[in-house]
Amino acid sequence: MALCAGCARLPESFPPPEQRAPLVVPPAGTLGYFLSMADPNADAYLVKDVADRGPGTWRWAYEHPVLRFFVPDVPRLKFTMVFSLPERTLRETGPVTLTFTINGKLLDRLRCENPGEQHYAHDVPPGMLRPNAINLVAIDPDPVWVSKADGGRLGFILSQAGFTE
Amino acid sequence: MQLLLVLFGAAFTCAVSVSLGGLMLGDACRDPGVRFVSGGALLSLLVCALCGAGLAYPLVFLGVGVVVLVGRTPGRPPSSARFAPAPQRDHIIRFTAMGILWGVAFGMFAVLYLANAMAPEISPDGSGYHLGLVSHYLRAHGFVSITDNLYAAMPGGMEMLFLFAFAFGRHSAAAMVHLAFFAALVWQVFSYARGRGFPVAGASAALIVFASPVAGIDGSSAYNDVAVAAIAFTLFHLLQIWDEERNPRLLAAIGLTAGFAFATKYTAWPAVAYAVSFVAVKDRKALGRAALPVAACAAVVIAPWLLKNWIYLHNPVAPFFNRQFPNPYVMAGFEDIYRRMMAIYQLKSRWEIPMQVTTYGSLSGLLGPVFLLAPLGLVALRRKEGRQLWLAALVFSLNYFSNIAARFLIPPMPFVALALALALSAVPRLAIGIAMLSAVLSWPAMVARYAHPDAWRLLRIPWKEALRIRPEESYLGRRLEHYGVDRLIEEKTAPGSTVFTFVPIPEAYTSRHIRVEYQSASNQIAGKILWTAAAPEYAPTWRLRFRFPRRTLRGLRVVETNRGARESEDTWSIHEFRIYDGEHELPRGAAWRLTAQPYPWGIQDAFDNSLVTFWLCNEPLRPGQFVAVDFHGEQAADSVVLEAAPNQWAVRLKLEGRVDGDGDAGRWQLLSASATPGDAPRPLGLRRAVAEELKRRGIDYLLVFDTDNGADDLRLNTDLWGMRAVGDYKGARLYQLP
Repeated sequence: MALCAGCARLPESFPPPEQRAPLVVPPAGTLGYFLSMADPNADAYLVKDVADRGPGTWRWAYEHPVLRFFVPDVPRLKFTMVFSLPERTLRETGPVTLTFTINGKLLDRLRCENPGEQHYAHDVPPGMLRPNAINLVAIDPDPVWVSKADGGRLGFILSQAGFTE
Repeated sequence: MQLLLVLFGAAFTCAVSVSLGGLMLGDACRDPGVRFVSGGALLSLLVCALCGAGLAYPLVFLGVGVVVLVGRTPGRPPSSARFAPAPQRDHIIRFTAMGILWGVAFGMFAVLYLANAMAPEISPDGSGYHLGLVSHYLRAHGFVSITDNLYAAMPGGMEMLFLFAFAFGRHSAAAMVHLAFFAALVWQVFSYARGRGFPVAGASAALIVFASPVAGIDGSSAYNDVAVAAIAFTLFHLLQIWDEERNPRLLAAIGLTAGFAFATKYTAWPAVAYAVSFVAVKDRKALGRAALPVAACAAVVIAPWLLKNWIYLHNPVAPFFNRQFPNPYVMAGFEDIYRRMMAIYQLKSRWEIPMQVTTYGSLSGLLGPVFLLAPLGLVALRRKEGRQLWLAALVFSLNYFSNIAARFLIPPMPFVALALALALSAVPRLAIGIAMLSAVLSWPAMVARYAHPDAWRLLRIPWKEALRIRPEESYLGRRLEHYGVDRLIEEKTAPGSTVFTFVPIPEAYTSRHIRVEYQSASNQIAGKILWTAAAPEYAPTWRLRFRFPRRTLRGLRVVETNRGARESEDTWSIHEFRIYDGEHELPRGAAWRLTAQPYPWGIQDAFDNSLVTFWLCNEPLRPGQFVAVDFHGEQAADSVVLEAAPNQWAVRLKLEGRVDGDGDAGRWQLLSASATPGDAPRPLGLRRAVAEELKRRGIDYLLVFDTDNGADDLRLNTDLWGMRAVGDYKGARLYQLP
């Protein structure tokens, strides 16, 4: 047995294997199908009404935020979003309804009654997306919170948004 | 007809074993129990050889058996010597009230066991791997390389006898062979004691052993623990006879029987040391020369199993000792977890063991509450026989704490029972009283009153099923969990298909190739590949970027620097290891050489450009574990990105480089002490890519239970996986891969 153990050797090394076709993942630094506010390239996804900067993992979305995504030709996508409504603003505004539109067409309305982080996902109907092209997603909060101090209008806190399967 | 085949398969196997035992022992030992078990060792070896030669056919077995039976006839000793001497006409067998009581006690359990052994096999391990492998060998007509089922690496000495019987009478014939070993054990407990002048203690111990609930269900199933006990007691019996008579003809039988113990179950390895040491010590005047044939004969029985594992799995003692015998088939990390689990099960403390194994039964059965009296058996140490019994009990319980299930106490149990009965027999009729009490307490209806509901035990006498008055199908459907899943697989999959599952199913009732997740490294990796698309924490959405000043390098490696929490299962994995020079990723050159420690065999999966495959460490985090690439040349680089899953919270890595000019023996230099973590979106098409990868790895179907991780995603997004749901049965769904 000891002899056998002495003969047992780990393989030294292996050559690289045959390279496989890559999956659909947006190259770093380019516009893709999913936005994370932690991404250094996050600004590329923001069309309007989203704060220019944030603490790194989230930013404020204002009254009419619009995002853009390059969506590959993949069947049955969902639009997903990770967002928050702070307790302080929700207390003053009451329940907030988010209206989602894709390329100007209504996707969904979501009524939010509770504060804190929420994960939203909704199937995108066939034909609503333009494959292999840039698609615009608008998320309109109603009502928005209006600052009594400076009149600033805040909608919700956006962490991630985009298309998944 | 089926019943006749069952009876023939079992009886033929037993008859051939007894004949071989008779041929080997001649007049040296005429005890039928000894002859059966030691002959079983020879038959097992013979069937093993036939399997090795690809000759595992029913007709070959029939021919071999007939030759043995016929060949035995001319050489018969005179009829007076063929059978064991007629039992002494003592009060044990006379038709007295006591004799009738013994008969009723033994008879009730004999009927219980016979009916359960003859009924269709429903034991978890028997219908799972013991007979699943037997069925596989019969279909393949011998041994084939099975690298994805760790149970195939366990020594199969008993399975060889099951195979001989199974070839004729299928599952129940195999279970009845095991029952024959049980009978041989119980008989020998009595015959050994009777031969040494304490028949009442012998009969009492035999009844205690025979009535033991865990021995009863194990011995009437296609398991091997009772067989190990029978082999152990036969070895003990042979050694005692040899010690008394010094007949050299016994030495071969002693060696073969000791080897057979190891060949039946690894945990019985002390049998070999016990036999060789016993003979060497007793033969010390002749410098222990008598131990040589014992060791040689034991080696003959053991060697095929070690050799088979060495050839197929690069580890003679697979699936254990994978650090000493590194191989791609069983990961050392898995072995650690497996050993830890077997050593404690669900118990909070080992102090719970005595009550669990004797009375409550949550450690897969119970020996019987009478064994709580076992310490009284120490009184027997004042007799020579008692000392020998306790020595044997010690030898065969040496490995107990490696697996604390009650059935792992079956091998030492007969020795303890006999020592206990011997001690109790100092008080008239006390041993008999305890034996009868044991029988009463061990009857199924009584066990239900004190054992836990999950205790593994016999429930009733299924005589209609045993006699096949009721069809097998309905009994199996009612009593064998997942039997319906077997039928679903048989109905919906093509012959020769491979089915992957996280949950073991009764493989003995399907002809398809079943790959169970935990049973091999390749299966564990396949399971995690499936989770890559089914469970968010396994998706390759985590990025670790190491940056360093641009340098010309000869190699790179990432090294683990953190130690996981003690007893934790934190480990690490890499889906892709990418090296950059500025924005440009270095193409993987043909000259590159990749390695990792541990589990180097999976390293190519971190360099194949696929996000569904990965190198998996599968051992607890330990500083020094690494993944390395040697360029076999020079490459300029300034960053490394590891694409991985976020389920490795404790991992801490540093990057080292082998710098130009250091030569092959040059030392690794630190390039970056830590990585910057980041997230990436989940790749699109991940589910389909995973399904295609599993198919590429030889899996045709997935069997997914509703409670499995990721089951909902498969059910709701079957089209995105590119799979087809082909059927379901009570929460188990079968998917065909693209």
